Amino acid sequence: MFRHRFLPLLAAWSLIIPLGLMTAGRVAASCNPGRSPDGQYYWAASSAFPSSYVGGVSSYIYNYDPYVTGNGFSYAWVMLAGGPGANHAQIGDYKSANSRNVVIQVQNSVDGIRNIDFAAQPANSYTTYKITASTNNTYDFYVGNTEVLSQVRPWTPNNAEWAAEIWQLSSQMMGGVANPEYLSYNQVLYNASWHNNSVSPWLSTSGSGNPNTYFGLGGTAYNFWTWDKKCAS
Amino acid sequence: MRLLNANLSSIGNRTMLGVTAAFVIGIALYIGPLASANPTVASSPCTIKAEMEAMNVQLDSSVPPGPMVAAAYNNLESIHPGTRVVEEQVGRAHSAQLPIVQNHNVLVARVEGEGDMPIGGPVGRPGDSPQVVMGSVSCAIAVYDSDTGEFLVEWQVLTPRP
Repeated sequence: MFRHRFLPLLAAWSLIIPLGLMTAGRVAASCNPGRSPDGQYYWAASSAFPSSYVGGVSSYIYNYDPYVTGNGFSYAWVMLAGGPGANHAQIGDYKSANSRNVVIQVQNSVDGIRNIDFAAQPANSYTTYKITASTNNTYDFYVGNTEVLSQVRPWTPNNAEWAAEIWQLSSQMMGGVANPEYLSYNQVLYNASWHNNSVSPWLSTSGSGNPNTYFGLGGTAYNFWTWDKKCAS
Repeated sequence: MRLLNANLSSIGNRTMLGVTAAFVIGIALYIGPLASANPTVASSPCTIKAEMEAMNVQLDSSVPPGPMVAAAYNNLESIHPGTRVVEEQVGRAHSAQLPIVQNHNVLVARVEGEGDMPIGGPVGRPGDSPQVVMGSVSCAIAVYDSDTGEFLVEWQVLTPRP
């Protein structure tokens, strides 16, 4: 398989730490939730504004391989955001209909909106995804302990976010009933130290439907998990 | 908001062909027209040179193409008619800011096709309106190791749809 060519790279990228939440027998399985595309976003997410300047965000994310079709996507990520406009820096585990990747998305006055894609982390593993933003506006993106991108961009974050997200209801939210998608050890950097996230997560959508109909959510701000109610595992 | 790497299961003598061609097909599914006006982008027009500068990658073009690159160049469009590599370059890459390419002999390809792409933005709270919904790809660049065919990184500049 082509992916085998990536193994040395993936090994270098991975920070596989045993996690109490993960049991040895868990196996992620793509599952068609049997829903039609609706042109809307859905999130299981937390968003924190702990300070006027936020210097980093981090989460230990379960790399799941969900079902995605058409132009949908399913994405579990961390993000720094802030004004002006919709400036943001985002990294996480991404799945489209055709591929899985580690995806960075940035939006700012230099890049416009830019996606930067790397080889995926192995499915059914955990990876720490982290972004830091220094006071000189240097943004550093990490996959495990490996820094994959560093860039200087003229904006300052005041918001940290953690989310599992889908575009199109026909896409599977990462996680199944017996095999949830975990965003764990969620932390935010401000006032020169890392703090546990304290904002409880919620389910939301860009549309008018009730996301609780389709998705489950459990846990706390620091460790939360979500799942697609149509999928067993 | 993604593309790439479709059908990347074939390896062997034609690995680079398969990899690169699959990449081109993946991008072709999503790429829209070249941006004529992007209200949020201050960067240069889409060229490999401009994108290398934007991503702070230096490319030493004195390095000759590797064997995988030559094979790919010779066969790409004949194997997959309808896709279009509009620009390509080889060289040794240097970048402190994109370390995955550092010291690799690379094939850089810029491709064009047609399509749309959803763009995720900051998460919505209940009752919020999404900031961006759909966009198109105005520029897509892929970087492979030209000696091994290994996918290194790929990026796209996205244009929000008003």
